[in-house]
Amino acid sequence: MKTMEEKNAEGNVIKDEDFIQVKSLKQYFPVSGNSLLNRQYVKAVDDVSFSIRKGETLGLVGESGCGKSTLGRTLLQLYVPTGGEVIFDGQKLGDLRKKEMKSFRKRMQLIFQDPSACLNPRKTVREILMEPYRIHRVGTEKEREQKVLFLMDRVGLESYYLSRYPHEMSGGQKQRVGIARALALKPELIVCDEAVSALDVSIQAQVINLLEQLQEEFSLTYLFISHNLSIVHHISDRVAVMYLGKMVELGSDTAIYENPCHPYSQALISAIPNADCEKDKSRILLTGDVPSPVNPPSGCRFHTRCRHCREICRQEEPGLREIEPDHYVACHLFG
Amino acid sequence: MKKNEKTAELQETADDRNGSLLRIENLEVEFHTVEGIHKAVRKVSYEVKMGETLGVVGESGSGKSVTALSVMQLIQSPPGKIMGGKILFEEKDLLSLSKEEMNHIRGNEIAMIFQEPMTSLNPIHTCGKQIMEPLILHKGYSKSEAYEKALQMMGQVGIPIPRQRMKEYPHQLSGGMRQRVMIAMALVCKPKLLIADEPTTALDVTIQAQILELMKILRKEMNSSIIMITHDLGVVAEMCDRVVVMYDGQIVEVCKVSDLFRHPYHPYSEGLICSIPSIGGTRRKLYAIKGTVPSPYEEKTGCSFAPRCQYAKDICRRQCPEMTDLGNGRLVRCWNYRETGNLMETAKESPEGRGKA
Repeated sequence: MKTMEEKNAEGNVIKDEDFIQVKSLKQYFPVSGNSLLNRQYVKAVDDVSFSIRKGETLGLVGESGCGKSTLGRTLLQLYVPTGGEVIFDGQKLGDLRKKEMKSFRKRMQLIFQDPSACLNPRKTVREILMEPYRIHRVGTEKEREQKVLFLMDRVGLESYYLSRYPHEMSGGQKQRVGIARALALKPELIVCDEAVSALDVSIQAQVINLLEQLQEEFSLTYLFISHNLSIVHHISDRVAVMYLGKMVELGSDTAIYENPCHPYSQALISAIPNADCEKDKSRILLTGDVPSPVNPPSGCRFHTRCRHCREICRQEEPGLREIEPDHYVACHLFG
Repeated sequence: MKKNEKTAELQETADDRNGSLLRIENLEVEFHTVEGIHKAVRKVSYEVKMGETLGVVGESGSGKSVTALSVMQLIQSPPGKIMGGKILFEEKDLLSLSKEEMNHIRGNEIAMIFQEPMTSLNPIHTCGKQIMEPLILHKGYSKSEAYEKALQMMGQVGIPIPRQRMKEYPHQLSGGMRQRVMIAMALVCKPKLLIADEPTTALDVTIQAQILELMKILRKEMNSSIIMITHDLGVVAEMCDRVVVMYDGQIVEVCKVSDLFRHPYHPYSEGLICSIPSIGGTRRKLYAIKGTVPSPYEEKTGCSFAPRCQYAKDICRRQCPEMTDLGNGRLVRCWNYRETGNLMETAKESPEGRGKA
């Protein structure tokens, strides 16, 4: 049961005018091998509430297995949520029928991590980019061709690549095709799931600049999921930190990176290897590993690795509280 | 004059004593594939001094791993072939050793940590057995001695409940723990040289910090030299004394780590440093090195970075520059090294670019 106070706090995280509102979203996956009676669940996303504002980039960081990719996909309704709801521009996505959902999908797209795995190897770039138009029955053949040429130009690929197959292109070029495909139907929200992690450093910078330029041009809203904290810092307006299926901190980019408040965010930020030799290199080392999400610790999920762990942390789960304007932390230290 | 010469000589001998553990001279490695000859490593020379940590950075395909694998002689042949050069480890040329002699050095005096601990540990043997193996093989330990030693090593690399973990298989451990097993395996024979090929790339930042800290402690205790292969300049800044920058199978710059970040001479190193987003400070538009890495099968005339280089001149396209020695251990392979540095300056001066919303 939620206390009144926590409900209020949740109301604070989400404002009515926010473009995308995520309310107590839950996504559990059953772990096989158990009977119905004692079936266990991986609680990949467990009661997460936040919002994304129009035109902003929300960075989502956390270690592998913390549920950040699942959150991105559940938000796009690629999984049916176990609980909670997503409100996209005033519309509850859970209420939509299949056909209505299909037309809604035009407004949200996903860019994947591995560009070689997400492009069909048996299709040429032209066929890959035509597909969204074909599925949603947009325009005539001629108009589609025009649109594809426009997309290629926007993502910085020469038109002769249209007749190539994915294996004939480099990783950076393939990622550009993936971006062009995501842009095809003029979406409003793009979820970038580790969109640059598989690329080389020098190519990473090219793709990040491209994403920023496209955001400005098409007034896109990004949910930028990455484990690379430096890149998230560079691209985001606000940043959310996840740990074991829970959101532990949410705030503006400067708040999270310069004044992280949750002990986990503090450890995460201090763990970034710094290229600046003169900087002070004191760091908070976490002990141990992330506990299993099947059987998460009681109370605050971070308490097993936390330096400031107190009795209350073992028993009671902290909710997100606003500690300064637009900066939310789920920690008993700020109770 | 004479005195000067003499001091220079003295200096040299002092350097030698503190001298090189591994010296690679003009190493050339080719891969003969269906698509043609891939010159993965083209006349690479560098040395690793006693007790030093040398960073090797570069993009994928720049030849940094192939160089390291050649030292271990783990290049699969065919298609790979070492075409020329020398690899001198304590003045022995590793390339001229017999298979048995090399087996004695590999894992014993030179050890390696790989990027992906899941694929480089044997899934059908317990972790304990894999750590014990080099001890029994190289040091002639009995099984029980090796067991005790492995147990101690596991504790040293920070694996909790080592007695339990000895009996477990790699798939039962988390990524960080597996990497610790790899490190324990590599260090159990107290190697003189440790080659770490992207040791933390597959790990999360908090685990990466743990592993780097561990490597620093072990380096101090064992006084081994380390070759740290990575594409993460942050890791280089943190761990290394000197750094070698590779591009397209060649070394383009060698210098101290602090010099690399303060004033890189090669346009590629400069581009690399400007293209990483930094934490703290103002946000600027990232500098992106234009174009992509050239195809390894092309026959190149001139500097292979020229098509992507903003300083490129006629001569760059015609003739490949030689390594220029700038003194003080700095080497650079560029015709225009005197002119570089613009990017660093503009990056400092114009923090604008993309304003924060």
